[in-house]
Amino acid sequence: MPASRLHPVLRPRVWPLHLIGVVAVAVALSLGLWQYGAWQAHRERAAAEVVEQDPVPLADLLVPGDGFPGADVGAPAEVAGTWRDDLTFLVDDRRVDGEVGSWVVTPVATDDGDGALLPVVRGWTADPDDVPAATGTVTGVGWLQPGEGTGAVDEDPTDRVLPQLRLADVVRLVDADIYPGYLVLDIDGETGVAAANAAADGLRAVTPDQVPEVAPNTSLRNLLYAIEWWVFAAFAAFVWWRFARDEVERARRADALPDDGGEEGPTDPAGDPQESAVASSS
Amino acid sequence: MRGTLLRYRVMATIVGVLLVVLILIGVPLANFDGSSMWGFIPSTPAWVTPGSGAQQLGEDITHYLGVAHGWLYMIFLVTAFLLARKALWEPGFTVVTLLCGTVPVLSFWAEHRATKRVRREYADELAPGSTPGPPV
Repeated sequence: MPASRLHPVLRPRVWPLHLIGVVAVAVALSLGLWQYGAWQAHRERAAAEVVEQDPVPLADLLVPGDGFPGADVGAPAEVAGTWRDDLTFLVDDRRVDGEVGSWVVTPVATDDGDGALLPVVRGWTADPDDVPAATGTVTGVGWLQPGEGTGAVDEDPTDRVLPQLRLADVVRLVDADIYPGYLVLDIDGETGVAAANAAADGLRAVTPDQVPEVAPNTSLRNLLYAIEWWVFAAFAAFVWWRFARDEVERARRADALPDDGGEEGPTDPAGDPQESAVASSS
Repeated sequence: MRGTLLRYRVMATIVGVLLVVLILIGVPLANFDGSSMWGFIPSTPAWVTPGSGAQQLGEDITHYLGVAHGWLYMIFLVTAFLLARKALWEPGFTVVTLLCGTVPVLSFWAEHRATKRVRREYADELAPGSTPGPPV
């Protein structure tokens, strides 16, 4: 009977099964895609080796009012401008060689920034009360970073210490237009150019690899999780299909009963010889 | 039936214990340092010091055990599903048993519930020796 072959699958009593099946497969597939996307993003970033590129003028990479160019995370940029020491602030809970301290961040009024300020990380200090003053002009190279945003809450919005370098918090602190990113100043000449007048006496250099991000081997974990989710999706689909098939068999036997007088018990699944055979084969 | 039940129970126990270690020990150690967690939980109780040995242990647990647990859970799902087929469970009971394997502590209850049902319904098959024992 070809007509009744499809029909039992669509009956209302099977709908909850289909609903659970669709949801389980869809959720597992999309979680897999999400993890796969995270893995790819890591690989692209690693492959680019952006940090090793030759420095280019800041204006070529970052324009106030625009977004942060995603491919340029860590790109070396040349900066020239004037320190705004009066706007200096700290970002706490930063680690260098296992020691916990703070980043010293001073906004720079760039020469070509039209008044927009660029938050510049001058260095790291263990003692937040001993920060050297930054006066005059600065020229140098640094690594561009997008603002952070882990959602950490600034527990005391009135002080000049942030839990993370989130640009929205920086705007609140400096009360001026800022660039859509910040710069980690190269004070040791790692890019070939040590900043002039970096105002970093007593500060330790911050390098791009100290910028907080997920551990590098997290990317492999993302891939493993992605595969796991897809295996799970396949399994959920299999379970769904298996129960749907059971339901079809059961319904077909029940349908056949009034016509043929019935060959076997219609509702007792334990009496199904085919099911028992399948199950005991495992 | 005895082998199928045993395989299910072994996997359920392994996955259940690892899940407790992972969620109730690893995650708090790794994340409960007063800062935000996973991007959407704004703050956590400050139970561990950032960078301390305890937090490192938590990181290791979540990192390695997290992935391992995922794969072990797959094996658990397969053993549970084979048991569900063999014991002729209806979809509802099966889904509850599979899903409860994902919830710490609750997984032990699900295993107990499933085992009890199989023992009740298949007492003959599970009885020691080849001769079917009396129903329990």
